[in-house]
Amino acid sequence: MLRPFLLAALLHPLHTTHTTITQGPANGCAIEIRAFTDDLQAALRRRGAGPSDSSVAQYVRATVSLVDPQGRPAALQWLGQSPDGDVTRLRFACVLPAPMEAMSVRQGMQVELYADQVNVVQVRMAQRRVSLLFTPGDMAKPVR
Amino acid sequence: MSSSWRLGVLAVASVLLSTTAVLAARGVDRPSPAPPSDAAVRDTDIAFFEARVQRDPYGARDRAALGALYLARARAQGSEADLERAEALARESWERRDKRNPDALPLLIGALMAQHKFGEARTAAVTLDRVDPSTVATATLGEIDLELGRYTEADSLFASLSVQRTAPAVAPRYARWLELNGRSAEARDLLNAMRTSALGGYRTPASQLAWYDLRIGDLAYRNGRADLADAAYRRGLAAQPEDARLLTALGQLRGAQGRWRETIVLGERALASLFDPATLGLLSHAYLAIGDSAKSAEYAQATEVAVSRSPGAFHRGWALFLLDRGRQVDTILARARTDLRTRKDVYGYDLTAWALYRSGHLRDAMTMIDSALARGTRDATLHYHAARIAEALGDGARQRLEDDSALAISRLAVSFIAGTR
Repeated sequence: MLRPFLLAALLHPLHTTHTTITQGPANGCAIEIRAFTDDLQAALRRRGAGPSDSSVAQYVRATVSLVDPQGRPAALQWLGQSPDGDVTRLRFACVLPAPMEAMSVRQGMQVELYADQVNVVQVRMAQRRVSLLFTPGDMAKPVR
Repeated sequence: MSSSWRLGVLAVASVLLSTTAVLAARGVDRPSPAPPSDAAVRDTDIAFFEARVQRDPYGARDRAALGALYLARARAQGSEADLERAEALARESWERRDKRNPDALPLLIGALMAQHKFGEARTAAVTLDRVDPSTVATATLGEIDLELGRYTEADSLFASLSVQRTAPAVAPRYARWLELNGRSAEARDLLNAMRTSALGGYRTPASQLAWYDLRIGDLAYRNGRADLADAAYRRGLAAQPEDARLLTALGQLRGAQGRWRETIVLGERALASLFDPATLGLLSHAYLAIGDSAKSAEYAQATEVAVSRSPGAFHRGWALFLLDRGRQVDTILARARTDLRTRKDVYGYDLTAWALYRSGHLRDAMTMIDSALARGTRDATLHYHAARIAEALGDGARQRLEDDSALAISRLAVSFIAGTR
């Protein structure tokens, strides 16, 4: 039996990732990136790489950055990846070289593949949350 | 639910039970495992049916079952690839067996409609109604006719369903038909009755109750009842706290109430669950309303980028947002006109009218908005658009009439629209 939902409740093809950066104690932070698995794999293939941990970590480090006002980057420590349906979750830990409010973020995953890519980054700090959006051509944006 | 679908769920359950039993027998003192999430069960089922489909190149039921799982996952995660898989599997299933295969055509119709392929969906629905006639098949065909603006056919189909209108698979579609015919109160009563019935049902999923709450809230919002809309949205969120569509709907309501900072909190929560350009548009409105034009522009730009490659049919809500921001007016007008060739429905006429208005073709815009209003649909947005077109034409009497109509239907909706311009 069909479920009692209107069938035309709708989906449109969209290219996107979602990144959550959560501030921890002592300038630590946790990063989780959700990406559609087929898009992520297409990005890796374009670089001649497979979906191994090291390839994925390398790709993320090349396209995602947190940088302080002096240009010092936060090192992204790979924690792992796990499938979640059609999505892959990527997890990193990092230590920030400056307080989160002073950092700038760039999320450029898959923009080399899709002109309509939109990457959403949500930064969770103790007192507030900040959302940043990245489309092709965008540079790093301050968290502030 | 097909029998083979149940088999997949049972397979998961039996694995869990046997694992727990073995651990208990070994005296291992471990906490009881948390029950798997719906998503985890679905993914296990997908793996199960993928293996069966691989093993059996002739299996029609397994293909339909796997397609249904992909369609469910597409709805949950917004995956284009899953939708395409669902459509392909439905076609393969139907090709392998076009008799006693009750799941293939409904699956195909669902996958096609989710992709806005309404013409193909109608062809499949006509076939379904012929080979397996039922109230559900009739209601499905009626729903597609509503989407295509084939109102005479839809009226005939839904009129024939009057007695069965409270059947779970019929009621939401029947309510939609009532609403489009200006019978919003009857639509609200029907949806409320269905929600009450679902609440008393055996293990009704929270997502189903939340869906009714969203529809009931939207109806109330469109009829100016902030109190009822607020209650419905919050009731839905109590059951599904991170439901992105409910969060966005409540955010819109807060905007209409002038509580834009709450709109931002709700919209950003929604974005964490589901990427939807409608939410980006709402956030763009909200930031503009609180005076942050830079952030508003960032969200508007992202909306424009996100929908720029959407092929074929396009989302009318997104298009209205872009028109109101003066973005892609010519492109949207061209796409709206193309869309209108096959979908002559109320909202197709409205979008074309608004695109014509935004591009300065006022007389044509008035003709189009008159077509949109011809059904008597109680929607303040339609009358608001008519008022602005009449205003631009210098027709003060018509402008006042339409503004009064919009306010009489939903002061709330007018407040939101006016607050975003």
